[in-house]
Amino acid sequence: VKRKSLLRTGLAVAGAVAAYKASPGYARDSLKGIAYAAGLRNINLEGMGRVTAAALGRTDYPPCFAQMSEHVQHIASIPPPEFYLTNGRAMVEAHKLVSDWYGMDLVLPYTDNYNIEAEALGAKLVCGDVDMPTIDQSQPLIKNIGDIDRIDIDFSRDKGRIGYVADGVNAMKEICNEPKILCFSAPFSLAAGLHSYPGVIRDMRRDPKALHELFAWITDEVQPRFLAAIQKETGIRLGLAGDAWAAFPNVTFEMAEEWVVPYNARLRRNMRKKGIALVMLGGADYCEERQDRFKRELMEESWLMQARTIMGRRVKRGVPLMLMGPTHEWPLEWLKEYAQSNALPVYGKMPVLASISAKFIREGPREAIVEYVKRLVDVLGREGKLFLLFPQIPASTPPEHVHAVVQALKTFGRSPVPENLDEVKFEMPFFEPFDQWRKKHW
Amino acid sequence: MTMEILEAIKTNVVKGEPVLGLVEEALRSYRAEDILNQAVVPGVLEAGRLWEEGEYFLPDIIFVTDSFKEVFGVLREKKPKGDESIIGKYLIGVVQGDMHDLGKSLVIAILSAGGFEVIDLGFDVPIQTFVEKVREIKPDILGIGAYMSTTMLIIRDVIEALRSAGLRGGLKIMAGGAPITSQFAIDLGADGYGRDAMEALKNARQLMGVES
Repeated sequence: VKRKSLLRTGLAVAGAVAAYKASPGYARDSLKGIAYAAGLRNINLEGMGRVTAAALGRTDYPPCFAQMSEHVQHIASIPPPEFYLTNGRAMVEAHKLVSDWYGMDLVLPYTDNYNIEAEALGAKLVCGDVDMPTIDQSQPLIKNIGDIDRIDIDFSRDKGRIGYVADGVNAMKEICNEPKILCFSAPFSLAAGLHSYPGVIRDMRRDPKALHELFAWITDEVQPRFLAAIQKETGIRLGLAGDAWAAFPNVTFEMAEEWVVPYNARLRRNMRKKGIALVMLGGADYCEERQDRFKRELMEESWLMQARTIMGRRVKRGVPLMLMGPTHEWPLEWLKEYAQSNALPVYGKMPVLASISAKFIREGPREAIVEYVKRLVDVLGREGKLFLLFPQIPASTPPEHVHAVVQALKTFGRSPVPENLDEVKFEMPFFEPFDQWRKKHW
Repeated sequence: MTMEILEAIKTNVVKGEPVLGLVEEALRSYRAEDILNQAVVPGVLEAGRLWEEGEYFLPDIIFVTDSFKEVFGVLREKKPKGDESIIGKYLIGVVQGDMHDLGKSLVIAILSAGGFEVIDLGFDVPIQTFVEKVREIKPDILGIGAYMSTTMLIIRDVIEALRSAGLRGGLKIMAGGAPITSQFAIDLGADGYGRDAMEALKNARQLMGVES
């Protein structure tokens, strides 16, 4: 036990050293998390500290974080053009404020980052009065693969929203005390942005050779130049490549094997040479919206495939996680069994990334949301290593729903978790209206 | 010429393979409506069953709708006018400020295969256009799509505008799109909902009083 504990701590310290290079604030919090997990319980955990402690299996309560740009824009009342198109710094600042207001542990200041490269290359961006911009899939920039020859790969600051993104990345460290991380589009999703999702799918049958040319061009030419341009502006050393277009059932498992896993690996290799580490997220995510179509074997296969999209073909097991879809209807016992039966040497039980779906958090009712968080803790959170992600908080979500989640995590997830959670009394927290809170805290 | 050609058409539609050549061959022996009703539509419905059972993924449905679209226009041209096999007239559009088109395209193909005459208003459709087109076309069902949490409330505004214009009575309304749920659709004032193209067809047929 002692040897395992030492090894675990050693791994965590190595992680903290790496974190220090990216952000001293992150590293300081991570060290607090390590100390807390090692037994120093009088430490006040926050942010990355809680995340680190949770990863080590001993935290005060499970951490949570959210992708919520539409909700942030709505709550902070920033005009959409400023928020989404011109003022990257204001966008990050608003994310920080709203995250703090809710008591979340990490700030995820990302909007439609998967559109940035395509827009800069000339793809048509459509912007409504209130919503997040999107690439016009009906008029793709690349109608035929041969069109790539006429595209000028130029990611200078004045192209599209390159300046906006660079300003946002720089603000992450300054405002959020987080490492500078670029969130961008993974190869498959960028191919969908440039050639349209149906265009990519159709060419897999119609002309796979030409489609491979497009993917190679994206992976070897476009994205290395894009990342280098942002690196020049910001000094980033880490990128998060979102890949929602490559989620299930948008692709089949065979398609993921052929078009997602190898090109992700190729891009990672390309960028490692330039000193940028990449993590791919969202590809192979099991997003089944319908409970009657939900299959345990697909869910588990998707976790393995996700791990492969992140780390390559040699990976033998995945990590249980929930992202999009009606995850509150998932059988939580299946995740628990997977986490336990796939325990890692030294580390033990797999961590679980749980989520609250966008529809559920918006519609509630609040009591059902609280009950769901209680069940999450009861089934998945008793041995620690539980994290809660809001994959998306819709604009119109009542804030009390989100506050209720954080309060429920604090109430039911407080370590040590009581045997019978039904005996734990839950009280909704008092919270100030956002504008009032902002005046006091900002 | 035997029934084999119809079976081959159905099989190709289910697999989402090219089907025009087979249909042209079949037209030498069969009426267009027979090819449609005995081969093409059963193929689409079989693909729908495979989707319902979780066997098919979205790319499979894209290929199936491509096969369907490849021949639907040809067969419709050759069908006699005033064909009674049309279940109803379905007007569809995505609300103002919302540019998402893919989901609607799939719904249109599946509804067409399932017996509806579908009129597409496109995306980013102003509220007033919905009202004017309902007045002009007099559809049995209006399908309103919204794919963003910021635009979905516009569905309610469209329904309100139709009510104010005296066009709500007798008109069935369905809502759909990623952020919409069954309950939310009802709360907005719609009569029906579809989580995906297949469910939209099933529910549209039910609204028309047709067994699905």
